[in-house]
Amino acid sequence: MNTWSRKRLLAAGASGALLAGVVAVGSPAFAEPGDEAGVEVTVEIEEIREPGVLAMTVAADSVVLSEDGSTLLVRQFTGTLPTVTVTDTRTPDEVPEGAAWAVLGSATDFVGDAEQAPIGAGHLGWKPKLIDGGDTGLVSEGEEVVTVLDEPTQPGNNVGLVDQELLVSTFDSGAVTPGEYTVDADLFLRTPADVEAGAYTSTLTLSLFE
Amino acid sequence: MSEFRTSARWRRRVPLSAALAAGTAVLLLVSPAAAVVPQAASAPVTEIPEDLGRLADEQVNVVEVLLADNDELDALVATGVDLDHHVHQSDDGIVVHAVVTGNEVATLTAAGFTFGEVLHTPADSAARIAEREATIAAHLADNQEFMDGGAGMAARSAASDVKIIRADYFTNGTNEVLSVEAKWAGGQDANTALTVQRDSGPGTEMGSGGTQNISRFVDAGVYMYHRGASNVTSRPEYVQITSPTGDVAVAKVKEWLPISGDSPEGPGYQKDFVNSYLTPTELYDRIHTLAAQYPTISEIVELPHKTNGYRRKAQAVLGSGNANRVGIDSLAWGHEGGNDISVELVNPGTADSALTVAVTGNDVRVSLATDASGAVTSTAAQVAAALNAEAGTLLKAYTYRGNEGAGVVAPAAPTRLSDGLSAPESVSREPHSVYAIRIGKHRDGSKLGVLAYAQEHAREWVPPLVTIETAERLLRNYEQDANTRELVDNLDIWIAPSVNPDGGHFSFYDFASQRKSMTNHCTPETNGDFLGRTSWGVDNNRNYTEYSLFDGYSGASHSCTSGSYAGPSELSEPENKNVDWLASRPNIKFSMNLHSSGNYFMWSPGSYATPGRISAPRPTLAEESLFWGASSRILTAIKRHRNLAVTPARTGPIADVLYSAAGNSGDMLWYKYGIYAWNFEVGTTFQPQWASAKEEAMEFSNGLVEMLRVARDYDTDTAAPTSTVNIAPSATPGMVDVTFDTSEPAAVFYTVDGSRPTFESTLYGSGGVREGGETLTLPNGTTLNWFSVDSKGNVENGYVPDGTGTNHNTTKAWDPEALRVTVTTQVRCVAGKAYVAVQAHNQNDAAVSISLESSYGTKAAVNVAPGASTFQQFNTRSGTVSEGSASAHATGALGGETVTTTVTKEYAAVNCADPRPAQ
Repeated sequence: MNTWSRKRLLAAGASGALLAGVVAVGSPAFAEPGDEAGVEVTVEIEEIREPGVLAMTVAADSVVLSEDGSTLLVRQFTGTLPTVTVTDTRTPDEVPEGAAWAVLGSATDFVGDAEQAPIGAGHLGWKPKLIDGGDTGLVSEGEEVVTVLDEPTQPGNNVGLVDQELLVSTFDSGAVTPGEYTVDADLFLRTPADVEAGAYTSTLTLSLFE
Repeated sequence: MSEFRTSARWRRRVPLSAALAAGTAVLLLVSPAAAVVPQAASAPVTEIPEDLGRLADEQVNVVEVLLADNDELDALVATGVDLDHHVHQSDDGIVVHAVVTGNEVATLTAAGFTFGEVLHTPADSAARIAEREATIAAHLADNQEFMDGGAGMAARSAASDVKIIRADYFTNGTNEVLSVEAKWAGGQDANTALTVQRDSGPGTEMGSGGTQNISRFVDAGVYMYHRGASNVTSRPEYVQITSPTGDVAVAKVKEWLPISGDSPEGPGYQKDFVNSYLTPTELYDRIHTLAAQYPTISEIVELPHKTNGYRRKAQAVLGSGNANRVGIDSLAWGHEGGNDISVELVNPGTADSALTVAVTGNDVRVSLATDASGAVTSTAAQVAAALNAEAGTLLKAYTYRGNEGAGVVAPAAPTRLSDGLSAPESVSREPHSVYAIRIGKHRDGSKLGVLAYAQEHAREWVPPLVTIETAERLLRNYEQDANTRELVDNLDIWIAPSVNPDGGHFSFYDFASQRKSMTNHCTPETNGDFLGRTSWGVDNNRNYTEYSLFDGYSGASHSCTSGSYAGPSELSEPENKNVDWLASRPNIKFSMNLHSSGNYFMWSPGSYATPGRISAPRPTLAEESLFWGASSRILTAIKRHRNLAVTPARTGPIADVLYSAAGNSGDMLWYKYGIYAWNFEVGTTFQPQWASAKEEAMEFSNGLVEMLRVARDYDTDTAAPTSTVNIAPSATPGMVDVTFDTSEPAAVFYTVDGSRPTFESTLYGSGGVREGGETLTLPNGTTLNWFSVDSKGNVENGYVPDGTGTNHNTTKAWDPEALRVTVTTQVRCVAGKAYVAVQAHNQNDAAVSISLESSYGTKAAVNVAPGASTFQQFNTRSGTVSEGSASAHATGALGGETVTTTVTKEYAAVNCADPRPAQ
């Protein structure tokens, strides 16, 4: 299992009546396999003998969550993950036997900009949506992950994006290459109603594995 | 010595003996004392002596032995006891038949074995002999009466010395045939053919239909009748025979009713040529007579090795206690003077007498030593030493079976040494020639060879008759029966009616239960004395070279008195060298080893090593398919005679259906020479009443002739087999039951992973009498690639298994009653977490709706296009997952109805912390 590329983007949640626009840290908008956190090493890998590569891009490097659907008990802030594109230009022969790629995501806690208590990453959930998975049926979005304030909708999935959660994956890389696949996700931050107002920032890291 | 045949093209086998040797070497490293020869399982308990205690004057019976299981059977076989060929398996255990004396029963009972009923006693054998003698005498009396013109022969034409017994007309295809049997008073002594004149229909002149010769038929030295059939051009009304003396007989011709068309024996097929048990001398006389009568299509072959002869040294054992017994053997053979020697032990009647020996001609007189009081003091050891010193040119003396001989001997009246042999002088005492009759129009090795041989075991009296009956059928039907001609013209048929004539004579004239050869390999120390003489001999079916006792296999003994004594070394015996010589005729491809009894039909492997029953290499199922396919034909032919079936439980490899028989001949023929070697166990007992024996000879001759037809068909088989696959729903959800059918006996090689089938691929379990075709239970939708190949190597559709073509058969094994959905599961580790990936592939022609279900989530039904899939990677949120299963539920149209098919697939456990690959 190799981590081929990793991308980060910041998700900002605004609580209270205040809408806060928070910008993500710039990370490379394009990463090659083996690239870690947008630093270094790209050149050597590009000299790989095979002409084809498996790569991931993210359409934007930040997203702002805005309040939508709050109740008396729970405040909810939603947004949409920028479109994630997985591109595979390898020929099937170049794909190792049995390989299958997957994109995983995890978020850091939301940190307030004014000493507010942080909001745990468990309060951020998502529902991946496959935009273009081809016609084989062998590329599927990950399951919904709900927050610690929710009841599970699949076994054990009310954990938020604390740990690596599946955004999209294929059953068999060799069966879906070459191809370009796109996915986004509904993002939702759910906090108790008494959360302290202010601007918060989290970093959501997406990693492409194969 | 265990070599492997290499003729079959697809075989790649690892020699088992080499593997055993390697295994032994390892054992020896661990424990130098480890036994090299596998020992029998220790089911019954106490240590069993090498010699089971049989004495020559004991009655030998066939007695049931009741065994709990195969381990006990192997242990019993390991004692070397003489076992008949009978193993009956039941819910309560196994019953076998042992040929044993009271002493042997006592030894084995003490060792923990349980005996059942007594089935056959010497009185039964004596009755068979008496029956045989009476039959022969009655025939001779009939002949005499006929010759004398007695009143009892009412049917005899007045004043004629020839009588027509029957004259049958029949059609055989487009042929018209006339078969005539007649009896001539001079037939007992004169070897003259009779000429039959025919008319050409009602009212026509005698002779106008032509003539035919009919030949003399003699059985057990008794003239039975003249018999013969010829093609005719018109149906005669009357036939007439004029005997050599000028007497005339006339008979009206009858029409033989046509018989059903499926019999390979055409109308008028002649059989039924045996009328009594035959001694080896009579068997050889019979084939000599036949060969003389049919010189163009048969000949006698004297096999290269003479036997050791129906002869023994003359012997006596004087005394009654082991310590004071003196054993004496003549130096000359009994019939060459040994029987004339007598020995006497005399008390001189005086005190302080010395031990002396006086030899007068052949009479040896021992005067025993006495002490001061006149009491005899000579011990057995002293007497033996004195005899050897003073009469050593006549005899050899010894103490009893290794005893020190310290006991004082008892005086003994003059005792004549004896070889114990009572056959008439017509039975030669010299090393005996062993004969085979070779039948075939072309006996130059150019035709496919077939071998039948009988009487490896002396007491088995029916199997030789099967060979005689078969030889008679082949020769006497040759002229008029096209099917017989086909066999004789195109095969090279070797028939050896008795390979153990010395033992056979001993069985007929001296000891009916004799199983082995006559040859004595025992010494004075190991029961070589007069009291041991019914225990001697080599088991001729244990002295061969493949998977033998000497190779470490079970079911033979090193003890010279054992019923399964393997002899001093492989092929040590002339009887066995002869069979080896026969088998080494390069054109022989099929063989039948005829034994009795038990109604078995068997092939290799015939031995295994214990413990563990590690058998000699099994034939590949490709080869076994010929064994099975041919068996069903041969057994059908046997059954045709009187509807007696050889049961499926008694058909198959020897080691499976009987017991291990290390060094048997069938194994040598198969493993050493690549001959398709079968074994018949004819009938129900080894010396049945004649009425049964005759039926057995008839029915197994049917089988033997059918084996010739199998051989002929094998030789002409250039047609490749075809095969079909049958796919049915399985009782196991998600699976299908698959069977193959072939158009002829053939092996099917198949793959289930999409790869090209080759001779290395999985071999489909051959269909057969015993097991039926194997049913493969495979996942629904498995891709099957296969081909069939017959025993001649003809491959279906011209496919070349070791080539690169793809013209093998291929199909997907779909359950006809379910939607075609295949499910694949994988457990995966991504970033240290385990996932269960489930994929369902729609292989229907139309879209179906598929939902996925696992313990870690579900994926709602989605419409899946033909050829497309649905897939979900379920997150376990754990670093480990235990094994489980996931399902796909497919809903769609099948046969006009909406059906839902659920396919469940297992997945393995995974621990993502473990560095080994997850899959």
